[in-house]
Amino acid sequence: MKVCIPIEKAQPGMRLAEDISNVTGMILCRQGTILTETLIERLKNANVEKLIIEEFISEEEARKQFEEKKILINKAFANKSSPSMQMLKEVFLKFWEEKYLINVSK
Amino acid sequence: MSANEKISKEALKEKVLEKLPTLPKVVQEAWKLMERPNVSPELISEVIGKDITLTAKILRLINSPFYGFPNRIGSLKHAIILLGFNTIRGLLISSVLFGEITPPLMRIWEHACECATTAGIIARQLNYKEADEITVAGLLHDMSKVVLKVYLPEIDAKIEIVKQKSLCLDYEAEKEVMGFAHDVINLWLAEQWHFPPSLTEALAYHHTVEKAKKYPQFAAIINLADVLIHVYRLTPGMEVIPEIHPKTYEILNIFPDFLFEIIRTMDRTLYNLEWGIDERK
Repeated sequence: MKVCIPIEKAQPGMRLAEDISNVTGMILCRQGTILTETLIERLKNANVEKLIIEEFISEEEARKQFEEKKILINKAFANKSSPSMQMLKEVFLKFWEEKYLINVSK
Repeated sequence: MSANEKISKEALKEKVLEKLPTLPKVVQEAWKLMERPNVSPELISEVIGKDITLTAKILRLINSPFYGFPNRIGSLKHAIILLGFNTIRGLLISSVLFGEITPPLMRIWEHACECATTAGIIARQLNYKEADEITVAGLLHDMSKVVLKVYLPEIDAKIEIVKQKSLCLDYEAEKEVMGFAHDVINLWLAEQWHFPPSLTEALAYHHTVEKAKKYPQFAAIINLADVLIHVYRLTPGMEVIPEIHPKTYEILNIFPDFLFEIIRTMDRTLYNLEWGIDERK
């Protein structure tokens, strides 16, 4: 699960889920990098304000969150029977499934 | 009953237009200039540049994540050349309407930013050259809600009461209180402020896409972006979403895989946006 945090909350050991770029678009740090004390300091000095990190959640938690999304989607689309809305519903269900369950064993 | 409804719509229109803020002089001046043929971006930037606060607001909007320019745009003139007059006009109005983001406006502003981002994503993935203009249309699609909240608070209060009671969309509550919704007021504002036709259709017809005769894609993209954000941001207790217009997919030639990609990109981009919103405060 990807999570966006302010740099003040960054801790060594966290893994970057996305590349970090500076304001001119130059990539400072690649996706997958594990943060260290030094790296965090350097990012702060480079005026980086936020990071997207991998948050570890258990398979059980991932499934639970996915179920919650499914319930929301089903409720919202309950009286939306048009083909356009039905297609949107299917696509969103597929999206949330990928997002939550992609790292969960198939 | 019908005659009474008609009178009250006209009366309401008069009231809205009467309560509408006068656009700052600088904005009026720049606007008039942009309606003339062959005006240089340099001249426009000089005129707008006289208002330092306004200039700063516009530059902040342009450099925010929903435009996704990789390099910071430092000068107004550069912005005008890059974005074109229609987009600049939209940004001028945004800066005026969203000048002060007080707490009651926060929700509208956040939704506006997210829609702008999503509309831009859709437009770029469809390779529309007017992507920047469509982005600013996303930012402005609920502009009449701001006008109601700030300049017609008595009506806005009634709408809020209906929303609390029935847990429904703004659109439905507006229709119950006024007999019509924010898209109609958008049209009045767009006409009053002489918006270009493309922006006008995007803002007035994002719920009634079939009425967009000249720029159906603009209206369709805003329609789609609005719905996508509502679905993406669903929370327990507020499971109400607007409808995709039956013509939207057809106008934009949207298929499921494409929709999936848009949602993926939207998800990735909106992470960055969360912090961009705070900067705007």
